[in-house]
Amino acid sequence: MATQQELSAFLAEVERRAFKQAAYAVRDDHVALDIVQDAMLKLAQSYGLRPAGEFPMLFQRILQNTIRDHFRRQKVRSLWTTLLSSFTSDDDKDSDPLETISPQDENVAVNPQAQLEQSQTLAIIEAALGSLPARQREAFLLRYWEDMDVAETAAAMGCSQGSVKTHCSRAVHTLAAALRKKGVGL
Amino acid sequence: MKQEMDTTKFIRAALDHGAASLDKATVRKLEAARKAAVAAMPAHTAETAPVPAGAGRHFTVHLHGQRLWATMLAMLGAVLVLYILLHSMRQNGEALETDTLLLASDLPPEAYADKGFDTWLEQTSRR
Repeated sequence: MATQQELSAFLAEVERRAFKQAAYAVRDDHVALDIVQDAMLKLAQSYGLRPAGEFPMLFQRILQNTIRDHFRRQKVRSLWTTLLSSFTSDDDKDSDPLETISPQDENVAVNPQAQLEQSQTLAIIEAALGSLPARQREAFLLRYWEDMDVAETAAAMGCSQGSVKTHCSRAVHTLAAALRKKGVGL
Repeated sequence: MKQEMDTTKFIRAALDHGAASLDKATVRKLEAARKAAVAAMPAHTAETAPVPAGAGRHFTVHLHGQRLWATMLAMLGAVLVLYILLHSMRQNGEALETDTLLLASDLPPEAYADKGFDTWLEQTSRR
């Protein structure tokens, strides 16, 4: 059985990547944050007593299921959201502008050109990831960002290992083509 | 294959940079979510009851207090039911033997109820 320290250490390690994964899928940082919060709670409440070694796969499965649940609910709510959004403001009066400054902005005076190129490259990659089919994106991120092997990725996605390899291969080719098209050299 | 690996490494490096560059507000919210999740983790309620060693064997029993009592009561109930069943079966068996004996005998069953029958039997057996 895992301890609280083990669960905390695991979540601290994966929380940022989980947030980015959710953000690529739903294209909304606030929703992505909610999804990650839900996934963390579900892992702790339902599987908190499992061995810590099972957490990576369990968490990824929960995270992807939570993302899918969001899309299912969104289909129902989309009509009302569209109607109401014209009457609401996007201003967040409680936010502190200083809090939105990312660490890289603080170093912009050091190497602004490199920082700019890096940001542009990241933007291209994130846009390409967002446009991938969901299963290809999921397979790619689990294999190459979460360092899961094919078997673990298949278990987390609930599909065969052959499917994982196919999804990954297609994702890599699509992303490579997108980078070439934008003139990004490897 | 090598080009594929180079592509994935390049993308991974960019994604790592993106994850490391999250704004402070988001990082703080993620930390709060993590702490809330850890606080919601079920408490470990295992109770250990070491069993005295016997013939070199050791084992521990992990049971919650209430579950232990319920288990013991269930086992006691099962033993009681088993005893009643066995007792009932033995009584039935004895009755069955008696019935069989009576039916197989040449004498009518009423003879066995006669008080003088035992006396006659003893006298007959002495001869």
